[in-house]
Amino acid sequence: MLNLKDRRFVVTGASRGLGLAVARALLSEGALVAVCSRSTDDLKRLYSHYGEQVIYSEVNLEDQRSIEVFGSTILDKWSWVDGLVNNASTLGVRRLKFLMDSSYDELEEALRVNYLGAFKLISVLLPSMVARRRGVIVNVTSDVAVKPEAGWGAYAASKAALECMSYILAAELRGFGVRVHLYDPGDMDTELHRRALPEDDPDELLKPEHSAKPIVYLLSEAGMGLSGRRLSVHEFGDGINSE
Amino acid sequence: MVWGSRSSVRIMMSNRLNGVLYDYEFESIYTHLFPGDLLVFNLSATLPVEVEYGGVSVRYYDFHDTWCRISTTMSPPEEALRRYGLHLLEEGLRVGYECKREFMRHLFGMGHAVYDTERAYPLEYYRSAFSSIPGSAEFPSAARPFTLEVVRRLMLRGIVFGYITLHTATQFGGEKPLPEYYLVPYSTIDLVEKARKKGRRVIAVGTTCVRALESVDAGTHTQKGVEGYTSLTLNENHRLKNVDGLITGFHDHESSHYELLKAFQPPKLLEKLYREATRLGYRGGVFGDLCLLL
Ligand SMILES: NC(=O)c1ccc[n+]([C@@H]2O[C@H](COP(=O)([O-])OP(=O)(O)OC[C@H]3O[C@@H](n4cnc5c(N)ncnc54)[C@H](OP(=O)(O)O)[C@@H]3O)[C@@H](O)[C@H]2O)c1
Repeated sequence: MLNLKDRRFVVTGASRGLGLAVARALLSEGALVAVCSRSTDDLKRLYSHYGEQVIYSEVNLEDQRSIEVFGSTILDKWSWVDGLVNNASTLGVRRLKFLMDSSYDELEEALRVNYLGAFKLISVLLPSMVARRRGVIVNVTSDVAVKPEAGWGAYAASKAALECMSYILAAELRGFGVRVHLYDPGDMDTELHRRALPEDDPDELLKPEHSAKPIVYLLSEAGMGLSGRRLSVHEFGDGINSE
Repeated sequence: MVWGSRSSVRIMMSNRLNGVLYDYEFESIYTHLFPGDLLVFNLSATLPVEVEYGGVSVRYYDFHDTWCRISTTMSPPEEALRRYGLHLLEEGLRVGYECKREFMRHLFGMGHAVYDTERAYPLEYYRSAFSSIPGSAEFPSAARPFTLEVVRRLMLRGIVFGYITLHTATQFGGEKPLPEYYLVPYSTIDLVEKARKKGRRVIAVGTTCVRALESVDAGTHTQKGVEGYTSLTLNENHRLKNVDGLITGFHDHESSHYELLKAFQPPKLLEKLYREATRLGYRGGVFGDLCLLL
């Protein structure tokens, strides 16, 4: 039993892919979930299915004001949050290309969304965690941050920045009862992956529903003691995956 | 722009028992507090509540699900408001909206913090380490220098932390204190009682915390604590029941905030404190220096 009923979680980039799978998994555990992305049709669908269990908001993580609106809407309704999943991500580029062939704008977009956007949302929600001396942050990363390869420039650098920030936050927030996890979901059959590596066979990729389970696990009390570590989907045994 | 860490301000401690003033760096505050002392913070977060509609400024406060109160420089521009899905209620004292989230989007899109017409300071300047629950119109700024690093040091020293929520109101002109929503949770009432029983001090961080805590009468709380609107105004005749000390910024001599300080210190000592602060170049305002009244 993960005991997540009525707990309050925020998941970014929940209109599709991993974010949507995490939101659904949390909702089916009875948790309250606030979701965001730039497009809202899929978020609205989630809302019409689960009703008041869901808060949704149109957010562009590049825009601080939309992050503030999202945070304020959540805290106005809930007063605090138990956990935040920084999942939303952009490649920055339309398709992979060499770093020196990328424009400044492409590089900056990846940093603004994947790194700064995550930091800004943490800033808005963290006070409610610090006051209660409890909270969980899961930052979703990628293997290219630790195994950088040609073509992944903008995205990999932004994820490396996110990883570095996560280690530092984990150390700084430990004394406040706030855990910070880094999680690598593996190669999944999602739009992001199709755009990066269109030649990959979808049947050989993980389903986002599979990669979502460890996040739900980390958000529960079971994640205690795992703060400040970088964990990948492959390190989680069938124990969790068969729940 | 304000440079440097938010904790690099000065604080002047004034002790009513011996009338002595001490000027020191805020970052060393933990050396002036003792294990078991209770610091009380306001969880209320500040919204950019002032919006310009074609030359008319409107400030919003006291937010409810479908309406809030307003203060404005001229009669409110109904047509402009309607364009943003807002409508006037009751002689222009309140504004109604369909959806609070969309109203917040309007505030964050077009509004700015009160006294910051030029948007000189980014939104995050108006957030403290404990700003959690949106609803304040004026920034409860005394907590701002409490960076996480300072908070951590205080925790290690054995200082106890308690919280209230009080959403500040605002008006154009006049400093007549308006009724404000507040919640003092049961857990905080309990901490106050325990601190007092053990002879520890209860120190409010900001005048909002004083207002909320002093609005609580012994034995009147429910399981949730005490919640409602407070019209309490404090002055030199008020006998403090729940609070022993106050950390606050420097206020105008004519303001109700300054009157409130007199509940903590005799007027003569306050004047001496303000004179000394001026001599040492202390800065006023929400990003300025602090005093600790004990
Ligand atoms: N798929 C993989 O193989 C793989 C591998 C390793 C790591 N990951 C990581 O897993 C996470 C989820 O990725 P995914 O594969 O599920 O990607 P995805 O299907 O492309 O979903 C990305 C989500 O982020 C949102 N988003 C993108 N830009 C945004 C912005 N500026 N503001 C707000 N929301 C934004 C998208 O919604 P809108 O477009 O509507 O805004 C969407 O909901 C990411 O952190 C990714 O880096 C994925």
